[in-house]
Amino acid sequence: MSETTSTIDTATVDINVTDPQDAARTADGRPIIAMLGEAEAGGCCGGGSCAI
Amino acid sequence: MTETIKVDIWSDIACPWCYIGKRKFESGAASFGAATGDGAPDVVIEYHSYELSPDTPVDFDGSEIDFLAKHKGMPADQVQGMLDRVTGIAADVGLNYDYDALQHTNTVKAHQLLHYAKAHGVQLEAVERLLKAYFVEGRHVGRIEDLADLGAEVGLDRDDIVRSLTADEHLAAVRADQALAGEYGINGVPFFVINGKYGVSGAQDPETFADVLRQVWAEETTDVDTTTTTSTTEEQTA
Repeated sequence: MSETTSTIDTATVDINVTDPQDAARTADGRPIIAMLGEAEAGGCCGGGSCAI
Repeated sequence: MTETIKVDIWSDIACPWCYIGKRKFESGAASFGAATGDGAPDVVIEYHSYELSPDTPVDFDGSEIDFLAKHKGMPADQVQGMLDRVTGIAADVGLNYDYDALQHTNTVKAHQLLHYAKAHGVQLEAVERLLKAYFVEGRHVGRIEDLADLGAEVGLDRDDIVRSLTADEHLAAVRADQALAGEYGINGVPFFVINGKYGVSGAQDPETFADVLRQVWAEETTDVDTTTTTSTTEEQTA
């Protein structure tokens, strides 16, 4: 299965945090992280399946 | 401005891409440090728990092919091809995977050992030891006694590991990591969270990791005022 992460505009994210527990959060409480890197990279997902 | 870049890594001992990704990240971080020179920040790494197959028995009776074929519903020859491919990629980064010797198992106790190791300041050593034990040496990483042996090899107190794992002393920490992974929307590993605000998924190439660190560090060193939040734009395209 492919990792299909994609790029998020991070231009206005300016909160300086070092602990993921303190990350910026959405209105419903989910931490916001901006995806970087290439979309296609090897990874493992639930069920033990691993593929690129 | 921070003096460090914090990298939180979600991974599982039973994930071949996590070991490959570990090597690639280490290579990328080294490149970043070398290119940045004397002003390079420390890259502080912390590992977090992610169980790929929490329903796996400790003493799984069968090969890795048996396990994946059953769990994925894939033909054995297709699974073999997949393992051959990942074995080749592992070899490219200097890792000699041995799937014939590998003993598939439940990794929740291994994750607890990594939290125990973190509490004693040797988490990175323990991560490397467990991954090598599992993928290269064919050692069992699911049983308490085996994990205690491996923990002792990185300088931890064997008897105290047995006590801790028997009591599930760090199980809550494992569950907390998994809950946080859920909050981040992590559904695959390895997954890297950098300075709590950037995510990188998968075993990216070293150059990509170096670029990401360079980008994050450049942003940290150019931010004058990091206390004011303006707005956050989120636009994700599949």
